[in-house]
Amino acid sequence: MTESTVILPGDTLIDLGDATTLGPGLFQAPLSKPVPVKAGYLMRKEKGHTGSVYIESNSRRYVPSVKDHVIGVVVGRQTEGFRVLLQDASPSVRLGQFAFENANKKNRPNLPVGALVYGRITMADKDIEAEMECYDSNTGKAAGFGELKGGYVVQVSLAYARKLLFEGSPLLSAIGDIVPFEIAIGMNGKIWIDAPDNTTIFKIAQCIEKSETLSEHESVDLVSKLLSGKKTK
Amino acid sequence: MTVTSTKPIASTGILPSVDGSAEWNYGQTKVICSVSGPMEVKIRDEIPNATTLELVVRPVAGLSTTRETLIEDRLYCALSSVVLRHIHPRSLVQIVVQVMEAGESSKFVCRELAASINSSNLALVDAGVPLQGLVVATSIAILNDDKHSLIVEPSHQDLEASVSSHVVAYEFVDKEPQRLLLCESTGQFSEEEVYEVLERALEGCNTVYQSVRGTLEQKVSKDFVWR
Amino acid sequence: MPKRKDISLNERQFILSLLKDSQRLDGRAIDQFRKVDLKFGDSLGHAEVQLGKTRLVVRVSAEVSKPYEDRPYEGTFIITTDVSSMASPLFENNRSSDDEMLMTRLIEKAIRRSNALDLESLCIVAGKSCWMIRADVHYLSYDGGLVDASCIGVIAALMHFRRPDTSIDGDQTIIHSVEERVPVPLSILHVPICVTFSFFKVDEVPSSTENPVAAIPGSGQSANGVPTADDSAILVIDATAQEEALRHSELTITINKNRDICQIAKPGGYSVEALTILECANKAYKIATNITDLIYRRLKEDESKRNAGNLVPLTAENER
Repeated sequence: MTESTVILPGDTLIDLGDATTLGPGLFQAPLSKPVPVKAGYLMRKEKGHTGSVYIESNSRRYVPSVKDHVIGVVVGRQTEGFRVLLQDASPSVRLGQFAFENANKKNRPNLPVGALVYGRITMADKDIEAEMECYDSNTGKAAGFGELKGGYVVQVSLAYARKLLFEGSPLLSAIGDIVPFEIAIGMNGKIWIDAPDNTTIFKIAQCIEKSETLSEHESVDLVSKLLSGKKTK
Repeated sequence: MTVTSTKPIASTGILPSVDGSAEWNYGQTKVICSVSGPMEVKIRDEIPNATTLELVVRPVAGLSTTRETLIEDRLYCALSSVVLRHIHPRSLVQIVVQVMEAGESSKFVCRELAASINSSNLALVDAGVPLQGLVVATSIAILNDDKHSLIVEPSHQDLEASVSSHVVAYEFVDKEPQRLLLCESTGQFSEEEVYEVLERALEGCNTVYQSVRGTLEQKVSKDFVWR
Repeated sequence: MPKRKDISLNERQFILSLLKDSQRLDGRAIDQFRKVDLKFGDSLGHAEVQLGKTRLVVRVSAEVSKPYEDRPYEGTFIITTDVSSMASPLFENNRSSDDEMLMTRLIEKAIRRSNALDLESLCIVAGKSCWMIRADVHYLSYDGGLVDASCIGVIAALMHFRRPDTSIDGDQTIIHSVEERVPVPLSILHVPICVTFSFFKVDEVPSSTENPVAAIPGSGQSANGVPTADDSAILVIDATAQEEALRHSELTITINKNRDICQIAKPGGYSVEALTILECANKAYKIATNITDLIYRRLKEDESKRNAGNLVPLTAENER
């Protein structure tokens, strides 16, 4: 359930009910009511008897949170793993050398500095540094994670990246109708795109970047404008 | 030739390479503010249980002097208790205020200080830094006439003819002023006058708050155009 | 920059292979300068330059001070170029890195040392008082080309600025307020424009992300139709931040409309053939002419806006 009124930091919220879980953008000091600390829309999700509320807000700086899918650049190699940068000027996160599919003492992943990886945050405590993994640690399978080869990366705002990842967009299907392409969306606002040739990658990147400030309808128009003349698959 | 706006003109998200930014234009004063963070902090600036706030105020011409340091310090006073600094400990939030038009001579700091506070508040919200409320500031001058009349948001000329100048910042929670954050006064004034200043500042802050709220509501709907 | 922009091998490879096909991410041709957006503010000597996503504001101000002892007939001129973290979080506040220092020197040489501003006209009383002109460059946003943008901004702001008129009454110097006498424009001797060229070695392009250094040296790929003396280098004009982080070598040429080369700076990197420099100078000349015309056009527009209410245009310029 969404509400269309904008919530600003400090605003009083309508009664949330007792059995609600507070999500991002809300803060509750002991013995007081929860208050919004970010600007955005109040969102509610009902799940059986309990529900959760959070503020859907936009920003450009990513703060790691557990289970987030992210794309990062390897910036350093250490004895027991790699250092991955999720965003310029942000603290780097740890990526263990065994956090890959089929990785063991004999078979260690060999990523050069500058490699692009797609993974998942496994630990994000505010007092210790964050950690990520490039496989599904429950099954031991890659689950789509791992090193990303080729392609190009665009940086978009975090709310837009979340929207593309969770809700999808007619934009992506519109592109897919014209050309085949591969995409990986990180919740840190990085979107990786790969397509058969450079010009296509470049045009898809432009579509995604520009659509951030367009409505869904306009973005579909943009796709047909930019990618028209391309062969259908 | 200077353009004076009687209502605050504000916009957010104007700079592409930082996390949050705002432009604030009120009267003859215009400032631009940028906020980046929470990001990596240098070990020597790291605070184990709180966010490090780095504040820089840059003058319109020349190098920073003690005057800018004073503005930085007062800005810190106004912001530090509203920014929820323990949510992202061991990280850095960088705030840079660039004065574009001072709107006052270098003897005074009140217009620039009020504009710095208002623009930082907007840029902090734009960047998504957790805040417990909104900070809103206004400047007031007491004129050197027989009635010692009070002027909210004084102009350059009003300030030249004033006996004292004041900056008052309130924290607004749920559309109401909640807490007095800052009252910075320069010049000669009596105790009653300070109380009057605080009272009248509410009216000035309300005007500013309406503009801040409008700007931020616009920002949010612009952020989610694709919804 | 104290902190480097971290660019993944994927992006690096993609950008370089686009360049090899003479394409760029922003859709420009490789020898195309970004569109210069120049605006003047309400106060005199306030110029705002936008070059793609790079944005800066220059403020020129004047005050009366004492001339240097060894140059009693000259005024003083200071340019401050301090990049704060407003431009990008990669820049540090209150501390300038080597790159920033280099940039400051380049701008100094381009404008101050090329005598673009006639310092002798700033003298009020020889050895006693003179005008001190300062140009403060405020960087708002960084996306490459800071030197080129700063140069345009500083020179445009200097041309836009008017200083108060002065007269001498016996021993006293009188500074007339703007209301009293029409302020005087600065005497600008020429309009230097900086154009920065970036060189990319294409045979350095890594073949895959697996092995970044698996390049075969001297494989001799020719850059598509790019007229460079060095066949393996791609010449790119007005690089963005990403391109700046990837380039192998850079060259800045300062030139004016009279075809005077004021400086050629090539700090380090790969060697460049003499013919390439000539080529660059020719390209720089064309760009400089366009930008100079743009500055004059914008100044004229601003002038007519300011004079909108006047029957006779007010000026303090003397026929020489």
